[in-house]
Amino acid sequence: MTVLAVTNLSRRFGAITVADNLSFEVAQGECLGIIGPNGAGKTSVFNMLTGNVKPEAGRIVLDGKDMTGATAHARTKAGLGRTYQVPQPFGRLTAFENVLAAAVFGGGAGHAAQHRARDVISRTGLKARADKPAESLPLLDRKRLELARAMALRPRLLLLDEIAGGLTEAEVHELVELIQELKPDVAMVWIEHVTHALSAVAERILAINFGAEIASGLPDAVMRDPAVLEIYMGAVLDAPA
Amino acid sequence: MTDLRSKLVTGAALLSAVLLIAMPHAMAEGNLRYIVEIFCVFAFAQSWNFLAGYVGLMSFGQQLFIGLGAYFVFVLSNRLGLNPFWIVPLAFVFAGTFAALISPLVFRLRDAYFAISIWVIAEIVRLFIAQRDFLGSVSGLPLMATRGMDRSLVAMWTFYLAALLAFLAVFGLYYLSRSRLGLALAAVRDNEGTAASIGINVWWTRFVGFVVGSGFTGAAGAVYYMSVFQVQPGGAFDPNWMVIMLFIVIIGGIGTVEGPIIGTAIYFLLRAFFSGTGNLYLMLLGAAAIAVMMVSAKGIWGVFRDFSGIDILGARRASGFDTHTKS
Ligand SMILES: Nc1ncnc2c1ncn2[C@@H]1O[C@H](COP(=O)(O)OP(=O)(O)OP(=O)(O)O)[C@@H](O)[C@H]1O
Ligand SMILES: [Mg+2]
Repeated sequence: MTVLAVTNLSRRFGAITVADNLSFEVAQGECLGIIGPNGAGKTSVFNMLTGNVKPEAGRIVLDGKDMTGATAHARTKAGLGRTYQVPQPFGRLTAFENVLAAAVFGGGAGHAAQHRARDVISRTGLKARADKPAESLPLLDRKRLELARAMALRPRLLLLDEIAGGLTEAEVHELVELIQELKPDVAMVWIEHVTHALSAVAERILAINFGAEIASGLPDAVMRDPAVLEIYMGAVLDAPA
Repeated sequence: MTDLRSKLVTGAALLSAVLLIAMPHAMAEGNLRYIVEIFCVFAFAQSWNFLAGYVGLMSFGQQLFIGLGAYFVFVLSNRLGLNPFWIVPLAFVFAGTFAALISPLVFRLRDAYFAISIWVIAEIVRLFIAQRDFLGSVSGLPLMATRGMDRSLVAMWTFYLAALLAFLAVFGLYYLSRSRLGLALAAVRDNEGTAASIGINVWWTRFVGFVVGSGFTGAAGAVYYMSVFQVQPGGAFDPNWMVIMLFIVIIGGIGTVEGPIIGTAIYFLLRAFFSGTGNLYLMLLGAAAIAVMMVSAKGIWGVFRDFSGIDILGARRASGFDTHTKS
């Protein structure tokens, strides 16, 4: 069952094109990976899906409803949850309160919300720092908190923006397990540079550059695609050691 | 732990209520009047603290609502011959409605522009009133209705209204900050983008906060000027009110219930101490506020709370996890 359908999404910032006629679909229980070099427009695509950036053209349909012009909070009510690449917590609230707010306003109030927030805090490994102000948490915990907050919304569509960056191998492994647990209930779009983590979860990968699709399909096929190797991996190989 | 605290606060609220109700029967009229002033100034400060520290709206023009609330009660009571004590709740509604009406305009502005825009509106309203004879122009209005009433009864009811304001400014703010609305306000204050991303309607949440906070300032302004039986545009819309609110909140601790209680105490002590110095004491207030800010932006209560771990009227919702035994 298709949860998200994007058609012909386009947007420029001045001379920079961040989305060039992009189309993709994601169904429940499925994960679409998005890769692309820095500045390719990946986060901008998320910002259009969440309603923070207006597309110049194209359509965004969530669960059969056209959401192209909807406000950010309306999209959340319709089942969208996101994490931010650069963590954006409620700084003066505790980690627990950050998650609680999501549980309360993302649907389900009172005791159920309290319960869900505690559960999510445990599952994301934030228990020991649950009562610390979010602004005092180290970066890694803030990234955990991003995922926790999105999980507490119980979204139909989960947008993950580079949540594996900076984790150790063991932590990446844990994260992949957690995401596998969530997967059956949601449609997922995951932007990630840690490609082996992405390949472990995603059924399909979409590679973009300058906002345009350069390859899409099965993870292995996309990773071996000459256009991807040239632009994306090439950039990595060329990077100074 | 949390249960104990909420019982403690409930107990404190009940005790305060009993004390406040008993007070006018045990006190001389002069002292009562002084306490009315303290309570009103505290209510002004706390409503600004609510806006700046809980809603995240920094307004430098809250004297606007003091004046609006005061004039509303005076005009309505004088014109219609109504008992002003019953109109005070309507002053809340009137000031709140005014805030609601200017919201679409001022919410388009950010930060310093927002702060100053309300100050500008306060000046416009002050000038408007100063040029209208039926509003008493520059010399203002006396309160007519209380002239024919029993003096001690007027003193008592004025005190009760001020006491109610002070009570709400402590316990009302406490319960509001811990409510669902309080959580939404805190989220919007800390990060509006993320607030929207978890399903909060940012504009409405802020709107409700602005209306409630400004309405409360209006009610407090009404009671303050009722207690002195006259109102003038120069006094009611005086930017010095803003200086006093800022001083009290900054010195005591912004975003806390306790901070402005401490700030108000310090303000009245300093004022008594420097009463002969005219305008100098306002400068001293400014210097003291800056001194506190240099040490910590959290104010006296904020520093004390962080240092001691004592947080009585804070909004923090405990996770319930035993985080101390964890390694
Ligand atoms: N609101 C904006 N206004 C102007 N330019 C923007 C805006 N948002 C993004 N950009 C620009 O668009 C380009 C794409 O940014 P985006 O964040 O989408 O890249 P990305 O693919 O997520 O990159 P990364 O892998 O580094 O996160 C960048 O050059 C960025 O500077
Ligand atoms: Mg990005």
